[in-house]
Amino acid sequence: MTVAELVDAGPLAGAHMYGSGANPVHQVRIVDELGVFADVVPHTAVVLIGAAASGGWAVEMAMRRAWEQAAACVIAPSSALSAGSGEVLAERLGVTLIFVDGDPLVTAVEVASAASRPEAARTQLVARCATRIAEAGASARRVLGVLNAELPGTSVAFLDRYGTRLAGRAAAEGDSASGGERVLVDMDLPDGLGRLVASGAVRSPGWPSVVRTVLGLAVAALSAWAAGERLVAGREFAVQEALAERLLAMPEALLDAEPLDTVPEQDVPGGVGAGAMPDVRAGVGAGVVAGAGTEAFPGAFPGAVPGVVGDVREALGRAAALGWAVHGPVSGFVVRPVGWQPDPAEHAMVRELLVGALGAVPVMRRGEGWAGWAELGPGALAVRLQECARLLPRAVAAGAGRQVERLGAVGESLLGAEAAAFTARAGAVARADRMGPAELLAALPAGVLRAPAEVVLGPLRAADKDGSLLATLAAVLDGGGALRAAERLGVHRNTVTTRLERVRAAGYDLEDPATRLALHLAVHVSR
Amino acid sequence: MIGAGELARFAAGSRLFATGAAESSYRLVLDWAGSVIGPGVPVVAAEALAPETVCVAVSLVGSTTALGEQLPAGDEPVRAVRALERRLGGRVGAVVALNLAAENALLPLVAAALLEVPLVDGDGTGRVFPLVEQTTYTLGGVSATPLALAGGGGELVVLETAPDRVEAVVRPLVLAMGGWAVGACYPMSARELAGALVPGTVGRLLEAGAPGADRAVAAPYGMKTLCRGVIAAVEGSSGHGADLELPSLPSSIVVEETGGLRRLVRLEAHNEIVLALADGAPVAMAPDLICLVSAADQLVVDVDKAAPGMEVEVMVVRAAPVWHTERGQELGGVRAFGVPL
Amino acid sequence: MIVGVAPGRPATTVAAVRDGALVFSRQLPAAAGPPFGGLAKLAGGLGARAVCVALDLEDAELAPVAAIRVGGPCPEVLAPHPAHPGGATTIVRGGHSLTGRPLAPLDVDAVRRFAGSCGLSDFAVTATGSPVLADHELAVAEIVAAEVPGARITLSYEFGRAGLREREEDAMLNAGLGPAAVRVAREVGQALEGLPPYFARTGHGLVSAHYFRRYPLICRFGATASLARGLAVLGGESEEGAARAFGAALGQPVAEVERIVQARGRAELDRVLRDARDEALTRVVSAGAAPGSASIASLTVNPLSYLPHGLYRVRASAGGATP
Repeated sequence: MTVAELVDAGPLAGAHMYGSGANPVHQVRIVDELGVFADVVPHTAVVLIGAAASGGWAVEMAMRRAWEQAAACVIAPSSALSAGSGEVLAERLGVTLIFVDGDPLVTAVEVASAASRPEAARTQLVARCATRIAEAGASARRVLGVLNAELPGTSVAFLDRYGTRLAGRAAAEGDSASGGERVLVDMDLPDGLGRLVASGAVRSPGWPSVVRTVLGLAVAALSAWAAGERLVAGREFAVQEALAERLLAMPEALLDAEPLDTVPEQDVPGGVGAGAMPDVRAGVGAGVVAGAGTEAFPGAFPGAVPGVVGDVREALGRAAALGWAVHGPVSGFVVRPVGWQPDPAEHAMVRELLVGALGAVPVMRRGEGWAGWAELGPGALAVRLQECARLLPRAVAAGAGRQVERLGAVGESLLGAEAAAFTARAGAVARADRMGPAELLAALPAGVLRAPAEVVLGPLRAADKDGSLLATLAAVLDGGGALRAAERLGVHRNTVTTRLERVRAAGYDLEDPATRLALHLAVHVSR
Repeated sequence: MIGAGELARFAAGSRLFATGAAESSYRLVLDWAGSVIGPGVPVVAAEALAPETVCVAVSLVGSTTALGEQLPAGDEPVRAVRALERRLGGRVGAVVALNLAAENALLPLVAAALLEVPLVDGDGTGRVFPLVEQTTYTLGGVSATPLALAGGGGELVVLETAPDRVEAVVRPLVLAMGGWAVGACYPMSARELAGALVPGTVGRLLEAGAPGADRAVAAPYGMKTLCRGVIAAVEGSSGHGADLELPSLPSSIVVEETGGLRRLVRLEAHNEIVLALADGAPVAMAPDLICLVSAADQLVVDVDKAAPGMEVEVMVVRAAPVWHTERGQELGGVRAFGVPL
Repeated sequence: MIVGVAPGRPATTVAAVRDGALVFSRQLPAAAGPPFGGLAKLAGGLGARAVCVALDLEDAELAPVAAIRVGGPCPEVLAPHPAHPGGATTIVRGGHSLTGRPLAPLDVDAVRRFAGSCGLSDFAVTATGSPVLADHELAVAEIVAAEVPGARITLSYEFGRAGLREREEDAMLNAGLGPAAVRVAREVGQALEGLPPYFARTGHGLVSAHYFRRYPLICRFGATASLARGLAVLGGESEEGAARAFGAALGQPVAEVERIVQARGRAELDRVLRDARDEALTRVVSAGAAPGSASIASLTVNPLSYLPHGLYRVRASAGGATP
């Protein structure tokens, strides 16, 4: 058995090793003072205690003597010497140095026992991990718990494909400045599931490969866990989306005729028993819809009550149970991806984030994006959507619709939201109730218009030394009058009038609607 | 003769191998010496004095930091020596240094100037040791007591005790005086002194402190450069001296040699550097003096101020032959600092 | 955007710096009036978060200082000596040993007499043992403030250096630089029309105008230090004014505390270290760091030799970011 094998998986697991560790170990010698070295024979693991381990100088002298006697390695308590100088000297002398945290006498006994029966301790470690991972089952948290417990001195984390830690230790992510720690293994998992990252000190040259083998054992368990999670999330999403679409498709009059609170709970017909409702509500409130809750809403709504009124009541009941706004006032929202096409996992992610930011709301697919409604007014809604856009790892634009008094009118609000989302830039949220010329102008493709805009503005730029004419013109066109423009620019009204005279003098007829429109577009594009 | 003209050279020479010299106290004693030196202090060989001349060693006892903070009243050297004279019943005819490191070289000069007596050319260590009894005077059979201490607050103590109890009694007394005192000790005849001192060291410092002079001039028994390198680490140390009554805590300095064999040099310090290992093999140890000299300004680096990244030269100055005798080793060798080698 | 300013003759150079990179540098138009004319307009136009001024106080005229040392009698050569011929000095009884023991009660009458009769208003107070216990310096300051309304008082313990005379020299120099610093800070403040100025320190870092007025000594070679920093980044070929202004803008607020503390045992040492940290953090906020940004940059603890166990020299340095 070599020194490295003792460290990788044997009795010295968890110790720090400096040097190659390639020497075989045949026996162990406990050394408490340097004089003893005279009888140390080659291939001895020297365990330092007492005076011989009493400080950096003592350990360094011991390493020197170990080198002279061709010992296999020196084992010292980790408190005896700083890692830096130990490493340098181990390399210079070619003597492997091992730091142990525990009692060196116990270490000596364990090393002696391992040296006498050199079966591969590494195999034992791998076998033990395999058993414990199998016992952990399809739970990411438990599997990572096993990895972190069984791999001494090593931190393991399970990251999703965006780098967010799903389970395991933060220390594994590697960028922490702790001395001596580095990423040992960074393993991609199949099906875009993410990565397993292990970090720690390199305790021996063979250690990363041991870690890689053990992490490999966890892949199957993590894949099984992910498949289960996706199934639950996907099914739940589909069910809720179908419900929302159904509500939207219902005749407005029916939706608004009977506010839900006039419908006694026991009158809610259909497959949902009164007793099941509180469970679902609790699930939504906690932000996690339990599998058992979703089971109560089979996708096809079997056994729907005959008659449209009953159908409406039933749908409203389910929506209320999910915590959605069903009374009004409500506002619609639309979120669209900018420059990418979401895959199913990303649909689920956006939905989770929207629900996280807006509370319990319906989320439906709209084109490539998503739509829904919330109890919030457009202002608050826009703020929350903004928050959501910030959290998403990919670019989206969003629109908040006008607030409508009744759920029946939400379709109209959604149209506004869609238009607003179209005008919004990536990362921004636009409000339908605030859509004016500025927002419409913002939606124009500025790049295409820039060259013609400069042609329109040419004569103005020639007369405009310091940019004040352009700024004044922009303020007048945006603000709708000289007085408001003067306020905005912080100048006297007469100054604005004088500057507009200079604009006219440059050849622009500001009374001509066509000229005004052309100028307005050009000014906007040139900003 | 050390007059105003020689003072700067003597002061510069006193810092060539001196460790533990706090800037403030050194400046202070130098300014003080400049103000009292007058026409100059004669420097004489011990043998040139009448054999029965009473000589005393004068030294700062205690903390240089405390001296830099609580300034002397100015009469401490005279009060200490006069107190000893009263005890001895005779006049002191010459002052000698205990060691010649920084303020400890200058303070005997101040005493000699104030007392209007000569300064003997030589000292009691040929280097510096932390304890009052670690001197060649002790090795020569001279007792450190009776010993007088004068403090900055007007305190005056005359002490008699067995030589091995001096440090234990003096330490708390000095602390009670605010952390430092001027000590007058080792009263002896010029004849005894001539047989016990390391001779000629004052003259050597005057020579070595001249601008452009070789540092080796200050090392009468030889010196060598152990290595040039960069400090890689400064660690608290353990395993030696924890139970010893030494004035500071042990530490350990790791130097990586930049040229040559690129050895890893470890310096074990306890008040001063007492052991040097190169790749684990002992290459220098007390009683020889091991010091770190900064490559930046050629000044000796205080052990407390050594910091990773500093470029240094590790120098070894061979101690006077008497330190390499069995008794010398016992008093000032590496075992006296608690290293079991 | 951070703006660095290097006042100079004939023109003042301004450097605009974003994320540590020089965006541009230019000289202020001389027509706008030296040395800071037009600065506010430029800094405001750039939307500057901070304006960092690099100047040396080396040429500044030193004011006459009244120096009060609290301690025992000493040889004349070791007594305080004023740098300005109009200065005055005195030694009054009092002070503490390094173990915190009082050497003598403070001679409050002597302090009052000296303060009332010296005819000066810039004071430097240095008490024996103040790095351990500053009580006597604080008591002297109180008496001086009552006796001389409007007096500017520098206390040596705030510089913390080892050695009474070195600390006293610092305190006297700081007090002497006070009037010049107040004048410069006022000029810069007026020129900036409300934007907060920062001043480059000797070494590295910046301090607020308030801190600069109080401790001008630490900014004595602010321009020299800024130039060295600027050249180190830009390279030796750069124009000197631009390098100096750029170097100043690279700084962040820095402040430090140096003390001698007495602690018996680990718990007490932890407590005094926590105090030193807290004080350094408070100081760096006072030196202009945004409160949330302040953090300890270094903390060193050295046991003092030949003194009772448990005496340590502690240095804490804190840094932060401009708001």
